[in-house]
Amino acid sequence: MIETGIPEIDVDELSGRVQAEVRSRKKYGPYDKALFTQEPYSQQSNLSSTGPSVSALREPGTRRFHIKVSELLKYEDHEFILKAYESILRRRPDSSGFDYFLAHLRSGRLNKYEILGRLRFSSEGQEKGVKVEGLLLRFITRSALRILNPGSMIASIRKR
Amino acid sequence: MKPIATVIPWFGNDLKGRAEQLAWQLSARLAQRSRKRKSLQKLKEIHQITPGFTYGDAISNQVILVRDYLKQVGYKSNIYVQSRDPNLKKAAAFFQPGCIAKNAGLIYHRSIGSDLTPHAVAHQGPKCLMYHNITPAELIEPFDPALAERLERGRSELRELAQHFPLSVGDSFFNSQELAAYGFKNPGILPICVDPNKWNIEPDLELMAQLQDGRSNLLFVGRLSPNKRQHELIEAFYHYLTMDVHARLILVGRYSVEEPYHKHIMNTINRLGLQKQVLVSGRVGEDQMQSYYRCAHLFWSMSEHEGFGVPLIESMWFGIPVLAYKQAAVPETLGRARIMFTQKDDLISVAALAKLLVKDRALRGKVVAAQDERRMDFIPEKIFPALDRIIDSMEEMLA
Repeated sequence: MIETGIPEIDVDELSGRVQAEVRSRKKYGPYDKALFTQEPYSQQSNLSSTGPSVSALREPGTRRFHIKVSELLKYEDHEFILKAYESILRRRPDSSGFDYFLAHLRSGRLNKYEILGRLRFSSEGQEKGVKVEGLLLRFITRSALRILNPGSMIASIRKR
Repeated sequence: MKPIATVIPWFGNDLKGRAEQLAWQLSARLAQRSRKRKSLQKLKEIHQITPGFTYGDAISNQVILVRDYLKQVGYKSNIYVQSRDPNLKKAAAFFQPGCIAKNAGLIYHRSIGSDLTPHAVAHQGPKCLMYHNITPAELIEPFDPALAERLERGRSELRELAQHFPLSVGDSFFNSQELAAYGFKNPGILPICVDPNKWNIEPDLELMAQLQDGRSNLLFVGRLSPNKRQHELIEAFYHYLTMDVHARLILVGRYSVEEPYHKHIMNTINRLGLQKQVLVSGRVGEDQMQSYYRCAHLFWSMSEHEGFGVPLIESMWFGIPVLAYKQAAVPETLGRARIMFTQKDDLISVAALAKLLVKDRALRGKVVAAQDERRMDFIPEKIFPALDRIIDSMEEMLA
């Protein structure tokens, strides 16, 4: 994969270091592929094999603005957080948001509906305006149950 | 004797740099003395015609270099164009039929076809075709079918032009081989000159201050065009960020917001959420260009097609390691200083290689040392002998 005309550079050694770099990088699971599957253009360098339609390029965007909550619920753990950000906020997660929601998801402090709702109904989510079918009622219900949960009320009173 | 250029290329402030500077000055003076003999030849005028004349464009800069050299050696030489930047109206005049004398020499700069072609073909005096390559239509077609059609037409015209231009040169061996494939006889090579003189100006200091914020600056210079694959570079940069989170990708090059490819670039940036990490500068002045080069840590190219690749050599003058995809004239231009990747199916590994070139001092040192030698192959004094050969051939045609 690497070619050089510089005799002082050992290509095999450099290739080994490249692979070590790849292994040690901060990963986000199937994050990389997930983001590229929406891309209408081929990842291949040979453009003659596949090519996008020009009409697809000239439309305002090929990205979806309407999704079903069930499509997001099938993901788990960090993959769920990544898909949630990408689908609702249309960007990859910032590190603090990713860590916060993943920790709360794993500990049970927030469930998936609550996380999706918090993203969708945040100021940024409202600005992006992605319609998440089936989310609103469930988000309100789950949030209300959490508030009305006697256990949580007692715990919060004890903290005072 | 007319003084040599008052601007001296910057070789560095160390002893080695100063010695190189003195050697450059001496060779420039000696070269000037020998060039004066050319004025005794029979041909009195050699003019150039080129379709477009754009500030900062590599071909336009080459046209100016050739014109200045022709004048220095005693020829009357003008530049005639079809279109030009408004701030270049003193450098070039609009072409009009009859503006070039029948027995004058003519250099026709050819990339995509233009209305100048019939006039170049009809010219009876000595003439030379300088070929700057035509982007393969299949690289453009998905984004701009109309342009792809023009490119295809431009290529098909080359076969007919071969019959009318016994003298031709390409910017590179790659380009001259294309000429040979279209029937041109024994095409020569006149490399693009990369003269560090042009950076003897003050950079944009405010821009430099903004860029020197601790982030790794990864740079690509070239107009936004599908063959240059800036969208793939953005995707590779996305992976790069997983290894070096404080980084910035800078894409310097002209574009038009109406162009489909520009929209594709913006969609790619938005889709990957890289609005804050990718800077698309558009066309910039030489002061800003110098700032971008001075602040860059890596020049990174994913281009699928370059007839020469001037920014590859320009980067070398700023001590920036160059990493490029092996394709078209890129290996030739980089020469013995090349460090390239041969595949794009694993952008994560390509990004890892880029990261090593940014962060590993020893590796950078090896690359930059090789580049310091390679860049000297494209200074004016190395280009002039090839230009002399072209002039000699044109003189023989008149005889």
